Amino acid sequence: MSSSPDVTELLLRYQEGDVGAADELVPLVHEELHRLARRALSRLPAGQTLQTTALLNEAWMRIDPGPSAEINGREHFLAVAAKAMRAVVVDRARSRGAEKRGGAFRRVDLDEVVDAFERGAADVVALDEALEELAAERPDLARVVELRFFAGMKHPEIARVEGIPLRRVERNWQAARAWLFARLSADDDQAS
Amino acid sequence: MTTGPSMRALELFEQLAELEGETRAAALDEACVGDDGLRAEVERMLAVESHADFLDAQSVGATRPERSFHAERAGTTIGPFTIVRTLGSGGMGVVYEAEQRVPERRVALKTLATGVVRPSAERRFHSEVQLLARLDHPAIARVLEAGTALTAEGTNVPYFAMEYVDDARDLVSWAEGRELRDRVELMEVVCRAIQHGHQQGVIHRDLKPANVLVDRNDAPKVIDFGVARAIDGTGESAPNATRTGEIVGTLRYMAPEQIDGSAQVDTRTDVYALGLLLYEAIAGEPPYDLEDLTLTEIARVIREMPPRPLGRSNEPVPEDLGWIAMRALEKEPARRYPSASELAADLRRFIDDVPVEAGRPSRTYALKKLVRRHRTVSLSIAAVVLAVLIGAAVSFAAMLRANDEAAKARAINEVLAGMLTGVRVEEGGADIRAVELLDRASEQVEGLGSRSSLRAPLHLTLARSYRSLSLHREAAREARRALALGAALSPADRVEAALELAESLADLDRWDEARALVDEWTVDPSFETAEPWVQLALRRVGHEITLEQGDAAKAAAGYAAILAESREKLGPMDPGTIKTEGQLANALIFANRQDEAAALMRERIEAGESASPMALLDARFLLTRAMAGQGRHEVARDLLEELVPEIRATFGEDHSRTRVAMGGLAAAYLRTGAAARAAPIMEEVALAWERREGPDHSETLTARGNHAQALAELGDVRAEDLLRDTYEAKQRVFGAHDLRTTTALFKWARMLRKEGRMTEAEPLLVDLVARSEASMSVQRPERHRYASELGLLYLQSGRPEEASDRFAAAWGGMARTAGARHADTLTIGMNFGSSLLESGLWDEAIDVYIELLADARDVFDEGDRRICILLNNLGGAYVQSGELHLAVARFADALEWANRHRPSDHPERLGALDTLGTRLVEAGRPGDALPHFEELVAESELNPAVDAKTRSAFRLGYARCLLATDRLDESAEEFATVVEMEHARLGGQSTAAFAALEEEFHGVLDLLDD
Repeated sequence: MSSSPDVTELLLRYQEGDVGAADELVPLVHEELHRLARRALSRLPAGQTLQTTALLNEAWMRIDPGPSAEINGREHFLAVAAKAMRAVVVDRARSRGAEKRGGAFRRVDLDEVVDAFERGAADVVALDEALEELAAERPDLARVVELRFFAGMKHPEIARVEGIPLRRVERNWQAARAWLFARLSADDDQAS
Repeated sequence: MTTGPSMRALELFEQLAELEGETRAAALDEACVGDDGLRAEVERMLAVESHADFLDAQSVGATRPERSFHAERAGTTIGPFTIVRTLGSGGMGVVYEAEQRVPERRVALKTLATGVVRPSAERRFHSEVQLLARLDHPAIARVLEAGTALTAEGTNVPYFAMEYVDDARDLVSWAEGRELRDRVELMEVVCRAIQHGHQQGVIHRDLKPANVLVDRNDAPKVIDFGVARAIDGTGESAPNATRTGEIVGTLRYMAPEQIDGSAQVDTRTDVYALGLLLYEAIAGEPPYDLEDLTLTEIARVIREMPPRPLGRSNEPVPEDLGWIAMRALEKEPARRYPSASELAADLRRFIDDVPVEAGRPSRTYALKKLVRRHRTVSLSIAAVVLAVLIGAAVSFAAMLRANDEAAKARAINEVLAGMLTGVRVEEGGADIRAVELLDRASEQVEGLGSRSSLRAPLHLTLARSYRSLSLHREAAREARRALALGAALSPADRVEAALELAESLADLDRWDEARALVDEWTVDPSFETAEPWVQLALRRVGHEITLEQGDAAKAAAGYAAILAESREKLGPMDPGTIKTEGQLANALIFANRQDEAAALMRERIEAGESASPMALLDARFLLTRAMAGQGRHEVARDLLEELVPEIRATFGEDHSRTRVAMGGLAAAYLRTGAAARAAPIMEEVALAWERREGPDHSETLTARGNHAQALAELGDVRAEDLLRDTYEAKQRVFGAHDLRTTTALFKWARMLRKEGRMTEAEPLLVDLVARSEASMSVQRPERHRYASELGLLYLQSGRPEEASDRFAAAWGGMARTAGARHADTLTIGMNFGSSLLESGLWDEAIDVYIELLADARDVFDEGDRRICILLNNLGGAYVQSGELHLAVARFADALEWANRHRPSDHPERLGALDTLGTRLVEAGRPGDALPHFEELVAESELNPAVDAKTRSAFRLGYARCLLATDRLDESAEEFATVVEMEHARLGGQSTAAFAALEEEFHGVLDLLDD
């Protein structure tokens, strides 16, 4: 756990309003999550779905700065981790696509995570791109998707992390889902 | 590349999502008239509703569990049960009505979320269920069986079969319209049932109206006893996920200790839940209003806020029944009923009309309150009563003089004192006749000469009476006289006389004298003999002085401590407690802890009628101050417009509260750009203060400063002298570093800056910033306002880099102090953006504007033009950094904004059309620009708001756009028109611009010839 003091310090800085700390935090958490995902999956029986929330909770336990840290710590972490999680999953999905095309298809443990995600959205890479487009216009909507879909957060948690009323999280989620649905089904139409 | 639905379609979808069925269809039709494309987009989005699993498959939906759990169809079997129908679904699983063949019975079958059960957890689950099976009470739905069954998909589903309650209604819907007595009796039975569970060692943990069913014979059945616990035991794989899901559904019924984990969940947790049930059964609504709150806010309300008082609606609730509910709902488990059976017993006492336990501890207090309330008399009656009493007492005293029976006199004085203070302003309102009577009484008391044993208490009484009419000078005089005859007073009365004097001196701005008194009397041996309210009040004066000296944080801490003591010793509704609350709120406002202040006052306002109307007015006023501190000036203004007339009617024209409230209203006008309305009010207020308290009183100076500021904003020539004079007076009275002094300096310097007198303003602002950095905490918003003001000066003096430095620091500081979404923070951020643009730092400006836009959309009204300014500036920055397509998108947003919020011929909208059109042409999309220009030309044609020069500029844009779309003929015609228009406008005079225009025109003609 050589990285944990850094993460702790970054979290504290981030809590104190140092936005730049988030940028440094993401790669660290990214790495942490990769490791955890590999480990967590090797322990699970085959075919068992990996809950991203559980994964994130576990990640948090490993870098929890202790009881003295403020509760925001976990929420800030989750917010940052959501980005990391999205990056992990999308990266993996993308490289898997490349491997498939190259004929070098080989299951690795992260694929199970990707599989779990692709049960909710046929193409994670396409979703990621569509999400980018949405974020350009309505970052608030894209954010809810990131937190809910990629970090597995529940609406009340999202409300707390984002500091917006629960009802608005619901509405944003509905709207984002509908927009993305229409956006991605348009892709399908064109492909067929 | 494909694109997603347009933002217009998205917004329409968001509006439609609020509506249902036919209303929605109608709204969709209406919004899409003549726009089939839009309709198609929205319909594509609505199609998501038939794809419930889209983006949703892998998450255990906390808020929409019906999607995540697979509901079995009728006829399916689960273990030995055949499903009849689905009754509902909740955080834990689905509940069915089901049939069992052997034994033949109907059951409520509850299945749990799949995938959580492992062998060890399953064992625990069964042992818990066995425990539950021991419960045997007519009002508890029995657990009949439990087990796990294999589903069609091959997963193990744990289930419970419970006694099925036929024709059941939940507690709250049953209670509606029932006799109060029936409702209370039913609750007694529920309490006994819970008690039975407790005796068997089972805590319900999840009591809520939906878990108390009432059958057709009006008999209650508690369901899901202990289920939460049994399930918790299985939640091994993802404990947080499971628990969060449950929290959502049940948070509103959780006890404070369940929320913060501050205490073990035990039987008293159920007592609390019983209190909630009782409350809802009586009131038909929960004790807290949790609508629209975030999870954190809900948790805070449950942990900290008192329940809404019962009996607010039309149905009166007997006071002692309210006490029972409040005792059960105590935040501290130790203060609740120790067991459900004791709660049941108290409900029984209520039904039998014998005194309840809950009321007893505070009964003497309640009696005192009763007596006090009965003295509430209306304005004119108060004056008459006062006249009779004083007349009688004084002549009576004169009679007594002959007999010199001091003991008797004291007894009479006590009665007199009680009666006189009964006519406090808080209860009756000020009346000038009362003042005259008091003055006459004062003379008569003086006339009693050397009878000090008689005079001293009368002076004290008079001091109190004057104070209740806000006549501080007179009050101080009488209190001094009483203290001078101190030996004739009891020790407790001496302390009270000191208190009256200290409070009067504080109100007179004579802080040093007040401080000396507080210091002397709080350590005097007689202090301990004084009544608790006197002790607390005297200590409160001490904190008032601390606040006055500028240490708001320390004062707030002091007030908070006194408030806690006061609530305990005097009760939450005591006028002293309420006053302390107000002062705490005030100190919090000064300490820039606006949210806390607002919450405190909201709580007081919500407690409503139980406080006096005056206390309520104070609370409402302080709330507007906190809102102003939060930057919500429009709301504060609207509230004040309502409030000021009420305050004036209640306290009278000449009362300090009226002046303070008027000052607040004027300040709100000033902050919302209505200086013309603010100025006359400010002038009136300043004169009133001066008349009342003299020219150097803090309130007089503050009001004068505000008046001067309003004049300055109106460009009135008197402003400058007034601003400088106010500043100099404040510097003299308060010193160089006092907030009031720096505020005055700030206003003066700003006026100079706004008039463009930069060389005069700069040294003042540099001095001001230096002072604030030397003596002001970074937590003070003023410090950042000053820095930003200096930044503005630099910006306007063509020194954008220096301005950027100031703005960047002020922006960050303000965000930390007031929050990133505070209106002031955004304003400073916008200034920062401007300074970056001026410095040519396009990319940095882009980053800043993007950040600001995100917040501005949430903070400002949708139609606030600052949003449009931000969009335009961001677009401009994109143009400069060469990202034309992004620029075009932002200008399109700006037009969209104008379409929504401005009439079609509004200059702001026309400007947006022009900008977007021009940039589209530059971006090589003249075809897209064309309709904008066509509209622009049409809308500006006969528009009086558009001057001739602008009109030709618009048409020139149109001409160029036509040229770019190769419509040469029309372009040439348009150019000809522009040349003609400009020729007419310039009166034949030739300018460089005109020459360039002609040249461009000839170029087009040449093209045409080719």
